[in-house]
Amino acid sequence: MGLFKYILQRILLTIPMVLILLSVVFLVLRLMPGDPVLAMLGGRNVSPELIEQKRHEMGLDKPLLTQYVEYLGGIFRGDFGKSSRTGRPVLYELFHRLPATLELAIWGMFFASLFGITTGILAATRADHPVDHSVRVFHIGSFALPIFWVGLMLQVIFGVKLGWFPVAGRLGGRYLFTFERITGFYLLDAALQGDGKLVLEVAKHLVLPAVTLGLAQAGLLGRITRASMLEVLDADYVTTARSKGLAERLVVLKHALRNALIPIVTVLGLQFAILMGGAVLTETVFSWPGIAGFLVRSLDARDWFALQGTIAFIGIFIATINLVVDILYSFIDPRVRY
Amino acid sequence: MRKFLIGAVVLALSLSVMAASDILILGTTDRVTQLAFANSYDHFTWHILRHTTKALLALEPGTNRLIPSIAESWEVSADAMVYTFHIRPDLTFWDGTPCDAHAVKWALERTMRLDGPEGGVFLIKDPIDRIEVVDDLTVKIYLKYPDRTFLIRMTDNVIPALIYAKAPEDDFTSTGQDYVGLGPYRIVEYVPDERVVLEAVDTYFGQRARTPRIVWVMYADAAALRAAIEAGDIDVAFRTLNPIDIMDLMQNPNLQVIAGPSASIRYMLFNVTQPPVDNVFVRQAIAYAVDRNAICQRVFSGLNTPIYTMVPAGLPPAGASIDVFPERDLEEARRLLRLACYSEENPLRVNLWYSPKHYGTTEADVAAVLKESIEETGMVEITIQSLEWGAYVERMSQGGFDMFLLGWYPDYLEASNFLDPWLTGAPEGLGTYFNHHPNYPAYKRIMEMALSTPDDERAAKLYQAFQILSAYDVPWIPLWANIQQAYVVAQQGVGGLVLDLSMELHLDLLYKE
Repeated sequence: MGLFKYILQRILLTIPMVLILLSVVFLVLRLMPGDPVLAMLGGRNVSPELIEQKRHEMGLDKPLLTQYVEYLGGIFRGDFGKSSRTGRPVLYELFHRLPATLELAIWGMFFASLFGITTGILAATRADHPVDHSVRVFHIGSFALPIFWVGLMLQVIFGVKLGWFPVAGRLGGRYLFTFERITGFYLLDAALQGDGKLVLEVAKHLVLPAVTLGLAQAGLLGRITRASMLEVLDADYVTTARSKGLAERLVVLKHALRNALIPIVTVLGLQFAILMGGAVLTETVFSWPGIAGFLVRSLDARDWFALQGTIAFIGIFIATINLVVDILYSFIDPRVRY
Repeated sequence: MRKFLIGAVVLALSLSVMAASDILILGTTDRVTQLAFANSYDHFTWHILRHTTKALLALEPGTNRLIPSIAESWEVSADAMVYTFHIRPDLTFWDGTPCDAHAVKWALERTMRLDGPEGGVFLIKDPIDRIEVVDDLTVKIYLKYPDRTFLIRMTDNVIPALIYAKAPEDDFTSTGQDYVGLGPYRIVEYVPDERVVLEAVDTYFGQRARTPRIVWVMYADAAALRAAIEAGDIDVAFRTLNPIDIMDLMQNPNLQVIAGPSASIRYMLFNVTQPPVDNVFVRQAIAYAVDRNAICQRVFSGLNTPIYTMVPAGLPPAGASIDVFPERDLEEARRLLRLACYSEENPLRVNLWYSPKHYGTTEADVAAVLKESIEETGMVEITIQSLEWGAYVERMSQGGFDMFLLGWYPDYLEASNFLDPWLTGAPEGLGTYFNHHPNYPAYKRIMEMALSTPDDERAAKLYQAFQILSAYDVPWIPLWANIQQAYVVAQQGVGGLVLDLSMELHLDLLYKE
């Protein structure tokens, strides 16, 4: 199959997937108990006329099919509705928060790779050695421990007891007056402002949530790295490299790791989507002002359109990432096209 | 070069020290809903708005005595139907726009016209008939009926009463920067779910705010708020820490933990038309069986205190609050249950509804302790049921609960505000809880008489009568004063923490040494 045909096929497969996802979001929200209008009005003794007026404004008095068509049409036009809680378009709220979530996910991925790949290599090169056993315990532990518990422990130890890192948020209140939001990626923004102190402050805020998020993924990555490395370390070309007298470090990093990376990269791509989901807990524990926090707040406030729009947005975003990963993967490993 | 570097470091350090004393960082788990005078009805949004502008009158911090604000004096007509306010001369909004009688009329009328569905505009709209400008510095407000609470409703405690200018005529949504006010602070930045940044205003007619910049940081939950104050990320933590966290923080020598008086209460409500709680003996029995002390000690570590009336002590008029509900008496509860034809063999079966998050994470424990204490009679079986707040509100609005938990935070500081919320006009929906009770007209009449009298003593007596009658009919059971919400935790060196029944943190008084 040619590259173009492969990409076209992936895109065509993504479209029905997104449509199914949007339909499920639409239906599930309408099956949820509770009238969104009454919930929005907070149980106050408002007149039936006002309730009807709000229902009309929200389009909830229309037939289900009409609502569905309007909902899909809106999404394709980029109209995800208006948040009743903040009074602003849902898409605006999401784009305002997306950099925070992405920044956290990227750094979470960095720490996941750092902990996962290095410990995976370490375990594979010392297979069945006590170091291997210890690393495997770490992998299982990091995979099994609840993410919110890890976050709270890191907060208590490194934030409260040692005072090394701030416990929540993206930037200390005292820096808000000198900080300028440019891209929404605070680390980048601080660097663009050329203020080293600000960069350090932002970085300190990132460490605990990113490590928490990364640790949860490090276990899986580590296990895959170990398994993949063990497979290639026994391969003939590695034996050949060793027999040529190459240093073990070079054999492992240049010859073995390069070939072991293919499944690791695949998992990394998929992990990114999981990181976006995992961010719900991390963002809550660290009061990180991202999309997940917005989703939780919207749920609490029964903000109907915000809830519907955010879930749809996350779904579309993850589907897009998966599509991009699939396409990139076809460049890395041409075998997938055939 | 080396000297220059050292100099730069010293300068940077001095600047950071100076900046620290100029800024206070406050943390909360509350959120701003909508920065709208006509469409908000929650504590934190009102807290922010009331620091950005003022009303005709104010309540003195610490005493809650009525004091002049935009109006320097006022008069009330003999029939208590016309209020004349004399505006402070030479008063201007931040941008220099004069704040005169015309501005007062415009702001109040705009708020009442917009009357957002999620707002508390009814608090001023219900009694006001019309507003008349007499001259540039005199405004007259005519009421539809005499209302002894009217002056309190015109204080900056009640957000729809606030005076502002230059807001859009027909849109109540706001970023906080599309109006001009005349309060001690103005909103520099509001990022939903993240922060509100306030800056002191030079032209404020009152005493200048002690801290030039205030940053409110919003935390996801009580655990994050606690960690932030312990780690020193914030100077003050206010609303709402968990009881166990407050107890722990009391042991921290770096922090000061201060409890203010609380006008926030929690209570149980019955649907007096729905079996089995339509039987007065059943409701009375439950009132005797509930163990308030167990809730306060076991769930709230003793931070909250039991209450035996809906009206918090200290609210005007003096003497309005009297303890009318009985202390726990299981024998009396059993006797009443027998009168209602229940027994150990034929127990009363009733639901207890609660919402798991809206009132904090302790609600499930409260329900469990309540169930245990009532079932101790041996003649009651309680089924605990919970609904997430949205569904809870919907079911409540439809009269769908027999016995359930609620809370009340006052709209204005007067006893009637704790007694009349369930005297709803509509007989359906929320009205089903109480409106069909045979004594409902009597309650309504007592309240009308109390609200129409300017005599504090007479009003207090009528409020007492209302409470005594309610202790017999038991449409509700007051449980505890929510003092937990009035706790402030601050770093040592933070001063100006004046707490009173308004449960307000007066930002303009706060400072850090």
